[in-house]
Amino acid sequence: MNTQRIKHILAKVEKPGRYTGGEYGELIKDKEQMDVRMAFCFPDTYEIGMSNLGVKILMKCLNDLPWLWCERCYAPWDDMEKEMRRENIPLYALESGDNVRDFDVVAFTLQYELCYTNVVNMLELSGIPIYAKDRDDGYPIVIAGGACAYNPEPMADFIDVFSIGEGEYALVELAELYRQYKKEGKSKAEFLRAASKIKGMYVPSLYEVSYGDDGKIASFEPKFDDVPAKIEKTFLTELDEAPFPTSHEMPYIETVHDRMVLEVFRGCIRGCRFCQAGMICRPVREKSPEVLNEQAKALYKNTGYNEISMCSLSISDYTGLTELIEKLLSWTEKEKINLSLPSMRIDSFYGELMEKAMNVRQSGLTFAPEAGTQRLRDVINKNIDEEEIMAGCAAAFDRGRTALKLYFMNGLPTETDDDIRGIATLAQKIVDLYYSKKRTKGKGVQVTVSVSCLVPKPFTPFQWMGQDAVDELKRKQLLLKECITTRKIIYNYHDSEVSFLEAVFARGDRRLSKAIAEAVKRGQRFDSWDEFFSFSAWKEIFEATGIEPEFYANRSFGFDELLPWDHIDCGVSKEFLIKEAKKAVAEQTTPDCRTKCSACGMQNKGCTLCKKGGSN
Amino acid sequence: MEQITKYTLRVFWQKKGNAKYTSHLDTQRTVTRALVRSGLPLYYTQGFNPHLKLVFCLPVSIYQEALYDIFDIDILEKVDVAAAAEALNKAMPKDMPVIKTAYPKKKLKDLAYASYEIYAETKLTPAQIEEKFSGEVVVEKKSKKKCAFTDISPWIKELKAEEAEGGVCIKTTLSASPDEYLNPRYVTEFLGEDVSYSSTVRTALLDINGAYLE
Repeated sequence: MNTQRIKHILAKVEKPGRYTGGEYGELIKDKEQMDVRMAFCFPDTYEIGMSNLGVKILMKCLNDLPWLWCERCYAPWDDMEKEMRRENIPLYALESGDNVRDFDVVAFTLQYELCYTNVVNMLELSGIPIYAKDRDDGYPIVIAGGACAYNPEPMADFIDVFSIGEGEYALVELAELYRQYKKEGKSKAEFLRAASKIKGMYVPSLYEVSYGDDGKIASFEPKFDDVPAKIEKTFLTELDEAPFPTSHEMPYIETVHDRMVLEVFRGCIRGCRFCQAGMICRPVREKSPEVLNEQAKALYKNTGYNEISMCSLSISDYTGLTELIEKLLSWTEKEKINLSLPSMRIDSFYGELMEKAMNVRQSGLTFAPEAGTQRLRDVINKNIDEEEIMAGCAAAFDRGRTALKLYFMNGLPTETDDDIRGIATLAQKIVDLYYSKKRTKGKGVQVTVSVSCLVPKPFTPFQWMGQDAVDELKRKQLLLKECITTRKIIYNYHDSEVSFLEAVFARGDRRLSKAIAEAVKRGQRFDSWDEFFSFSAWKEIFEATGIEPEFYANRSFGFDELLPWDHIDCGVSKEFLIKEAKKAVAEQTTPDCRTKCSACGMQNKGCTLCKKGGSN
Repeated sequence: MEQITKYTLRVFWQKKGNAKYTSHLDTQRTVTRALVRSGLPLYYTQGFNPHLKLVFCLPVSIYQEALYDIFDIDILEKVDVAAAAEALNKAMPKDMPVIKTAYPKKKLKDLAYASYEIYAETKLTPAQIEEKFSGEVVVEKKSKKKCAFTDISPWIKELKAEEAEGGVCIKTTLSASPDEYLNPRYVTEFLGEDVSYSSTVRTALLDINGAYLE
């Protein structure tokens, strides 16, 4: 790193602490002793990247290898990027300050579709050719993983290898292969061919796609016989033994989640039909309260944080929750540590213990009914009725809570205007519920209704469904606004244009890479940030690259259509998803996995719930 | 309420290298967490929202370094100062090392002066710089209430310039009492466009007699 020049530009940018490294707990290795050097790039700001538990876990797994050094890198904010470009400073990793271009492997995590431009821009800023085909043996291998990698196609032209699923062991296997091939002086092509045979690794350049006259995918085939036609996701069977970082870098500047994070379990028993995480993270695997408690103690000792946040999907479904909270409270109270829980299912047990565990400073609670009417909640398989919602709210109010936040979605399949009005009605009923009892004087209730737009995601029963057009979403948003008549209800809604772009990339195919490259060329970055998102710019980009975005976002796909992500096997079967899609339209619900196994496809692949519970 | 016996421990530390990009608020957070990690018997305020009793002497501004910095922390029992310094140093980021700890001999409000070394990339010679500072030194000084052209020379106790690699090193002692604090950035601001880049390091915190604030 050219420290002198960087010093000069750091004096000119906002939040220079993003770009310096040197935090407490930073891992420094002797680079001369390393066989493999890796840069873990997070395509968003330092504050967001440093909050990501997944990155911390994977970096620990990789850095536990004595011959590999994995360093951090984040997307520079536009002021820093301008200075870097002006001074000709390429993207560098925080620990060593070395140029990303000079690493062996550059890894990206794809958490959100609107980070795609940042990925490509970071390659560009490193001086690495953005297209995989343009990178010869002298350039780093570029890999990517994360939730969005389940439909890797829009990024397929930029990435050499995708890691599908949980990467703890798979990435180590890939690194070992790389080390061996590097030692033997083998070519990039040879490495990629071998990598494609590791479970969970997808090498897009080894597949051929053809398109029909209607624009749909006609065929998707491996180019060679020894390359697998289907890429199976990898996942851990057991979490207690899995590597978990109990120490990590402590940021100087405040990050988004500036606290200890305990991962309580993976997967979800619920099967909400809009939820991608609920499908791709199957099966449910819990950590034991003992292990979690020990990890929390170690984290506290190593970080000094005063808050523990428990992280999972649907936390109240954790079977050891009471035991865990009791164990934690036995020492955290003395150390002045707060516990915080993620948003809960509204029907969930809301006892004294829970109340005790909540951060004392936090007066609000978040629940997610997702839809305003029972009919629509059945469509999305939320499996919760109004009585349960009211009971949950009553319990919260009786314990002195006065602020409730409710999450809903617009644009759900079969949605009618009555369903939209139902959101307002439900929120009003909750307000009325508060005033149905005598409450502390001077304390009013505040119900925040936060409505997002459904983005149909791959590997959900709604993956075939076209998203509502932007204008229709806007109409529904305004309709709801008109239905809310009290100031006790605060109404927030998402930008439908952002959701549209998300849907394009969520359901997109390889042809979209042209648009991403063009967007980067035209200066689009940080599309997930209000200050940079420009729908008009994207419309122009799609027009210039001959792409019809509605084809991806708004078109309903046929059940028999070859989907862009059909070569990925997420464990849950297509038959199950089709069955669920049909049940959604028929307004039929599916019980949760503990009540009855619905044979989603994971029953023979390591799911332990089906054995305990229902029949297949 | 039960009276809690507590002691104040003075921590002498540095804020240098990359830590200079850390604002005071972020520094407070960083130090708080380091104190928790150090395992010192920390005193917490007894209210609804317990927090540490942590007082920084004179925080340097963002982009400035300090080779001599002080904070006071209240603890519940007397500890060995050398052991405390070692434990704390281990818990601090490498660019915020702890040099020593001690039980205070002077009060923080006894602070009167602070010394700095300002490295400036400039074409001016040391003599020219000293000459510029020999008379009135008028800068646009901002305070919370107003912004006015002010002669800051009464607050400059001492100023010497000497040759340094690629520029000049200005060694200066400025007023730092609560009522008459002068931020060293005014020294470089006064030199205006003659300075292309500068970096400031604080080297001492002194009392009215020019002795270290032990």
